[in-house]
Amino acid sequence: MSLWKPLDPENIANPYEMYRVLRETAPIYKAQTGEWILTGYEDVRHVLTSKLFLSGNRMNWIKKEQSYLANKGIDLKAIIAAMDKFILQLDPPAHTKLRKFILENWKNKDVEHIINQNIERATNDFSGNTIDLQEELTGKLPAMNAAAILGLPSNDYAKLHEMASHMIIALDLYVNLKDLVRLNEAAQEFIDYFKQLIRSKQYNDGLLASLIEANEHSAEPLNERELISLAIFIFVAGEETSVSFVSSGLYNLLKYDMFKEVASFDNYPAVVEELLRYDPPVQLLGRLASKDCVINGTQITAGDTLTLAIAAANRDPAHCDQPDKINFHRDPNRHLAFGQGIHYCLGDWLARQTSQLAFRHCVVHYPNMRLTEQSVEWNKNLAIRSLKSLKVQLT
Amino acid sequence: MPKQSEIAYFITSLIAKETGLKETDITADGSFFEYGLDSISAIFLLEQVCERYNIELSPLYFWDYPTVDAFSKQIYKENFAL
Repeated sequence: MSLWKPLDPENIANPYEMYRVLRETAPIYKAQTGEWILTGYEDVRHVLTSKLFLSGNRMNWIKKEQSYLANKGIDLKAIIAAMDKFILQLDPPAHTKLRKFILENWKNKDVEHIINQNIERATNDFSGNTIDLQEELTGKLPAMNAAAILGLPSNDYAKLHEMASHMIIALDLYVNLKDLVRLNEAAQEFIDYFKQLIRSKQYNDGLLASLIEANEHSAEPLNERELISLAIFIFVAGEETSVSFVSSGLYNLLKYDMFKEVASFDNYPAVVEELLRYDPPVQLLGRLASKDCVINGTQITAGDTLTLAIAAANRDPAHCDQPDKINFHRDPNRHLAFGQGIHYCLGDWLARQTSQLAFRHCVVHYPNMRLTEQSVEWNKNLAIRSLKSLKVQLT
Repeated sequence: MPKQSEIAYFITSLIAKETGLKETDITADGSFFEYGLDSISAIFLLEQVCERYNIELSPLYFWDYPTVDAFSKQIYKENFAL
């Protein structure tokens, strides 16, 4: 039987035992699906930073699937349009140009007050003492932040979060037809949302306005459809990963009863780095081998798909001492939660700040917070792993 | 309640229709992928199986159970065996 069971609910609830067995048995493992699963830190880091491995694999697959299903009368065109400028799925030179375009125009990085305001707004609305934190804080805070930073109407955050939670299927590695149909609906809703917003100029000051303005003065401007795809990418990539991390981070702190330790340690950047290492939101990333090559003694053929288990690499004992233990004092803490190389996460600073401020708020204001249910449920997506709910008692 | 043999026949006919092979060319223990199934067509065919039997199957089902025999046995076991 295969060692790679990424859809087994037990493995989604706790993938680390599967990763350990893979890393110890075959750190570069040929899965039943034909892809290679990489679980060792150095191998994963090598692939992330090598030019031999391309990122567009998933997008190529979705394009092929779309044209196959079109012949069966199933329309997935909106997915292709929405994902066209997902820079995570692009390779140089297209990737380099778009990434630079975003970075150059992302001017307002002083967002602490925005995040704090949104935390206040969400926590002031807490409906009682026993609540689902995912519903009332961690699930909505990243959408509130992303809306404010992009300059989208602030009351749209709930609708945007709902759309993004379906759009993230685009980055899942294993999907069925119903998932793709749902993804296509979300893609169409997102396209319609941004089209209406841009055409009516209803956006506020922020990243979207900067991008639109810079685009107007560009020698090779993006068309409306490309600009919309880029906006969807920025929203979804930043929002869904933060939803995942803020809630799983708090879950780990509560599960291991660490609020007191975190309060007295009072070094939230270190707490966040260690939780990113211990349980990162993006667990799997895909790459495509552009040439025949050898990785750590294993022959890889041009065209092979590689699945990089980031979360497994972060717990490689060859890289990290006592990797299954949360230890806030690791220094340096060189985890791969944000990737490495040319695709290194564009919003790492925002994810870090959001989670630091959210953790601090909870630890300071609710020092006695505790989980009300021993077992939690996870969404069926190992690539970007997130909680369905996080039920807690606040005081 | 379908029998395993009926599920086996259904999947055989699906694969035959998709690949253009004759049903008699598809054996109980031959790999779906050698018959030409791939990650593109698998999604559509799996949905046909789900709809036919009103069940849910993991997207990796064809890979985890890559022959007519293994596939039909597992579906039967998970959904219809007493």
